Amino acid sequence: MTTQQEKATAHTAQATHTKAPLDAVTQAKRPRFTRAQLLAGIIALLCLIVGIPSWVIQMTTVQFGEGLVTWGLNIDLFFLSAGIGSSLLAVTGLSLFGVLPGVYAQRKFLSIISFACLFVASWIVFVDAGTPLRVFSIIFSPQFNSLFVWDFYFIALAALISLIILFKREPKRALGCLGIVFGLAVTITEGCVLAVSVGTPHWSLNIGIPILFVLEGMIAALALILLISRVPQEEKRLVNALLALLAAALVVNAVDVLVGAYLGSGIEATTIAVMVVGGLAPLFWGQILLGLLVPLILLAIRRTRVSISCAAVLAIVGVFLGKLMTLLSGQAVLADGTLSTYMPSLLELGACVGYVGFVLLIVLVGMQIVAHRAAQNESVLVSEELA
Amino acid sequence: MRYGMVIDTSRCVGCNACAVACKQIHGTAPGVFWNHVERWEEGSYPNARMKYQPVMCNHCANAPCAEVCPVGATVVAENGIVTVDKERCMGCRYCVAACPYDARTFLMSTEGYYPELGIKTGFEETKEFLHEAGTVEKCILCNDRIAEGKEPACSKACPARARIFGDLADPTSTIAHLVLQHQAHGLQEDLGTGPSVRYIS
Repeated sequence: MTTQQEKATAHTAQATHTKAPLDAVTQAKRPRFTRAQLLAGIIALLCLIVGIPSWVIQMTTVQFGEGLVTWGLNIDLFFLSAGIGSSLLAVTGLSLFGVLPGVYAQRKFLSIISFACLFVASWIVFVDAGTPLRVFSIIFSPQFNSLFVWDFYFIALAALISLIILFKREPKRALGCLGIVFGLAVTITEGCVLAVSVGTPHWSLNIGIPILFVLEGMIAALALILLISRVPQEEKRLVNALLALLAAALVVNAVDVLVGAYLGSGIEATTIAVMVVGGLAPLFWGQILLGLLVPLILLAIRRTRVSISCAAVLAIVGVFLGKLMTLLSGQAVLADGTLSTYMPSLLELGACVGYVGFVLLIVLVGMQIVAHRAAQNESVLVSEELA
Repeated sequence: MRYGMVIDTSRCVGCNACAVACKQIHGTAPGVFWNHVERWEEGSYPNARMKYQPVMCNHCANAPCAEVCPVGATVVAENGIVTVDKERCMGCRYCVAACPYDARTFLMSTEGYYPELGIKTGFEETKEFLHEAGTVEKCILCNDRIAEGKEPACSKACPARARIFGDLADPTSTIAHLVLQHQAHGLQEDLGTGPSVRYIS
């Protein structure tokens, strides 16, 4: 036997020796699905069964909602998803500075949700485009004078930072800083996408839109953290922050309506009338009452687990309604003064259900990957101890 | 060079010949009008009057649609005409939201006027290549006709000579004279879009 063969045999023997306990440890620590995860998986699957055919039809036949509306439910979900994802990243980034230890402990879970929301937001742009394959032109021949391009790149960077926070064992503060900057950049840019649109007076006259987008993103992110994460040591601080954000959003909305109403005539005044007493009144009052006032009262009066959960759910619903209301109110009055109508088609609703399922699926897969990596790391440590 | 149009609303009789000529030349889909005539009533009986205003893409010098396009599909050409490259347009509809004149249409389908027959007419077939579902389209000021030395179909078809086409940058042109003489104004000029379509009222 040559020296090389001897070495190889010895290496194989050593590998066989260490492999047995390693397998046992890996087997013992292999992540399993909890009941909640199984339920979420089934919901995700059902949503995707509805969503995937809707996406395929939407992408191949170019069908959207009914009515004279440029952007509808799809873009509402895009803004919601990107807003939640980027704001979660900002909060997670903040936790890296040691101010929110409970959130820091949950950073991997929150980073998975953040990445899932940002990824699905990009997917929505793809599905919603009239010619989806040309969306790649944003990468290959971007026009940087368009805020849409900046938004696209900020979302991509925010998603990347989420992934780095997710897989880094001890993420540094610099990463937290980047998370905060790009998390906020996404929501601000999205608000500005609407605010620079001179063709839509309700958006371009309303400097509150970027502020509102930041507030709504943070409201949804904090509500989600309170709803699904266990952060008892920070619950009070997070609830206080949510309370302040809800109050601020209420003020911005009130200012928007009062300024519009003060104008008295013109497209902006007509838009406000449509919002407050016209066709968009159910959305407007739904957002103000259900999405802002009721959670505000619930959190201010009683802070039990049930009331906090109810307020969090209502706050997220309010953000969804608020963004839809912002979108539709901007397009409510046409240039010639006529009023437009909008009704989402079944296809659009199906596509939106699919997006929810897609987020759930990515979160579940992400959790399994993280759990698997954790189990592997632990088994390596145990095998090193055994060796 | 900056091509544009002066529209004398006092001469417009609301016959829609311009809208029909445009549809005939470009073969736009059902419900899609690159230019049309808006009408409304002013005053009250017995002094009521019908008012007409032809509207189309204003071919703005500072076109908001071109500024927001993420892929550079919408451009302002050197001759001032704003065009959409349908081979590049990804159908995000940001330009539709940005246009203050509602002059853009997102084409959901290239279906003809008789979908129940399952076929397109010969006319529709000859114009099919001009349109692509999932993209945005608008008035192109008949730039192909201009290249041949002709005037746009809408101004050519106008029986009342309410539409005058020409080069706004040429001080010797009829259109430049009309703009100066009548202080022709653009729509929503306060937005700073610099429209190349001016109105005499």
